[in-house]
Amino acid sequence: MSEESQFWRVCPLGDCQVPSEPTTEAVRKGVRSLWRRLRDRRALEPEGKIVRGADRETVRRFAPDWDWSKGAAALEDSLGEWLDGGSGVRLIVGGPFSGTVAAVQTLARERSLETAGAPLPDELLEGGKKWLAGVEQQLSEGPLVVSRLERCFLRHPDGFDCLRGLLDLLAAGRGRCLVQCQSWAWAFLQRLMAPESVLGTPLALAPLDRESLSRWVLARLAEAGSERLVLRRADDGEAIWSRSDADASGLSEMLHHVTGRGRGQAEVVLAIWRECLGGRPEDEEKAPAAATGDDRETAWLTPWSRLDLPAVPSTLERSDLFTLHALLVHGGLRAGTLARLFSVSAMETNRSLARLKSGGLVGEADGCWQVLPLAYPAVRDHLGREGFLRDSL
Amino acid sequence: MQNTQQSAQQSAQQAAERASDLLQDLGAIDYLSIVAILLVALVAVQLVQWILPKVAERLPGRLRLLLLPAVPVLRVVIVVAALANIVPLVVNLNQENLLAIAGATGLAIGFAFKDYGSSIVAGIVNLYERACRPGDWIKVGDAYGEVKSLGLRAIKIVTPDDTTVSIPNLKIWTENVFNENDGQPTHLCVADFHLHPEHDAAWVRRKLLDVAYASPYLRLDRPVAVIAAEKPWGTHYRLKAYPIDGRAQFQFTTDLTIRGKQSLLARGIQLVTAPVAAAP
Repeated sequence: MSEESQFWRVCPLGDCQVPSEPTTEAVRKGVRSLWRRLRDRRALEPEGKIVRGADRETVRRFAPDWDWSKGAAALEDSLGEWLDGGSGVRLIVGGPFSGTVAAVQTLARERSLETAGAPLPDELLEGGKKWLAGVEQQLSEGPLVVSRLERCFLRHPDGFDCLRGLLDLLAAGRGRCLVQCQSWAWAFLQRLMAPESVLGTPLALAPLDRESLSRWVLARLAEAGSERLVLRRADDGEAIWSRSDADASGLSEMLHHVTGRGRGQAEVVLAIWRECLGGRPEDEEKAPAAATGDDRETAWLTPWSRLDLPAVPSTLERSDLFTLHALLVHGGLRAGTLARLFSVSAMETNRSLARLKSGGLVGEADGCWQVLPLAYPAVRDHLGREGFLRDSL
Repeated sequence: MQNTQQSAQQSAQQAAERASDLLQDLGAIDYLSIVAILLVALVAVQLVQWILPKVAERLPGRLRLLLLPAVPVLRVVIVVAALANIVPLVVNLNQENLLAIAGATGLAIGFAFKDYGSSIVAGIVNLYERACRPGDWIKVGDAYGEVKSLGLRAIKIVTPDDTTVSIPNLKIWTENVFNENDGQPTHLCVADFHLHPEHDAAWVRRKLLDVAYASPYLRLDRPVAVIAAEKPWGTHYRLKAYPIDGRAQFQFTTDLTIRGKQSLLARGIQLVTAPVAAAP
């Protein structure tokens, strides 16, 4: 069995084990967080400086994008009976950066399953009757995939009727349906309307653990690097792994930090790992490797203690936290929709988004704003500390 | 007779000697040290009162509410420590003198500062009983607001209209103290809706629940409830929910009220404009 086939595992959501961070890291994070809160309130930019050296091409060579066909295969295995003609509804819940969306969409494409796109915000606020009629029609024709349930409602007094209509359709047994929902939306919906009575017990792609990630990283390094590749710490040049040396304990310790901080969420873990690979010595000429005439191919690794991951500044306003929570519950939103959710002007929303963007917490793609994978662990921690409802993953 | 006079003279002499024994020689008292101790205590109290609230403001809700109550405790500790250092510089401390000082202090407090003393004692007892803490929202008599500080004599609260009210600690003993959050970071908020009696009550209930769940201020891990009651003038709905941060209670209630009214009016449900007196 290859490393890839063991990599993705599907289990009931309640059985998911989120990898923990090393104890020393928890203490260090607590002290740093307290220090940030007590520091100058004006500082919004990430603190410290990191020497960025490795080009994007090199980083992507050692840490390429995930191949979601393998995740889709794991889903296919666990949904086998349903895919082969089983009745009813199946639910897949995944963290915002777990890759569940990509895996479900890949599965739908490979099995030629009909997929229902999410309704537009305006449609949602009017009850989504037209969209529901379309879904009912699709359900009558065969199995249907409703991907991104988090975009089938809006956290607005008039934004829940469409989702209630969908649940009524599914409760009435109108057809076979595979529903995929993001974990933050699922946590919210459980408070609002107890949807598990219709959608059943959710399944999830299990979060990555240190061992899985180590296997994946070593396989990628073997594919991308030369036979003489060596990984060195960017601060003191110490070699922590090489192709010729079987000992991967130094690397494994680093990956323990990566999976713990990334909570095993595939896209977060990958983003952090790429960040680790993105540094280089401040003075490469004076690095021990160069000094000793070591001409092996070197990949530099920023030590965990010097990694400058985005942090949520204590200067954020309450409205900024509302924005972050809404972006996570809905899996990304347009600025105009955010303004409607909070009943505020577009100018206020844009100001909040600009503040969050300057802190490296959110980004925009095709007009849709999202929390960035690299900032997700800090944002999740911060929202939890401030009393916001979080997901379980 | 002569014996009696001698004995009275001796008693007076002994009393005078005891009084002079009580205090240090006035010329030998270290006035500089006393002033220094007072200054250090004053600065320490000011620092505690200035730094701790600032630090607490930067901490998350629960930590903030843990740190703020330390201010009055530290202030008492500083004052007691200062007195403990000053008294030996002024007074000859022995068992007899201690009893004399305690008696005199008790008399002074008892007669001259009866209410003041009661308030101080009530303040110290409050530190133990915790009827209220800084950060709590309390109502004592007609005063309602957030507790900003627990002084030795009085509690200072700031009302929603940004008015500071000093409430003598004695009131805690003599009146009911309504504490809304009791050390927790959040407390129940209520938005009222007064509707014309002819409407679909089930729809209104569900819509008001949606209004609460749609509010970004809502603390989602606490319950939300809608209470309806028929009145002579219509139906009174009370939407009860907890905000994420108790300090945002008025923004939260306003958000619920505005969104609730919008939703109800959009459905054509009439709000009652003024309660009418029911016929006897």
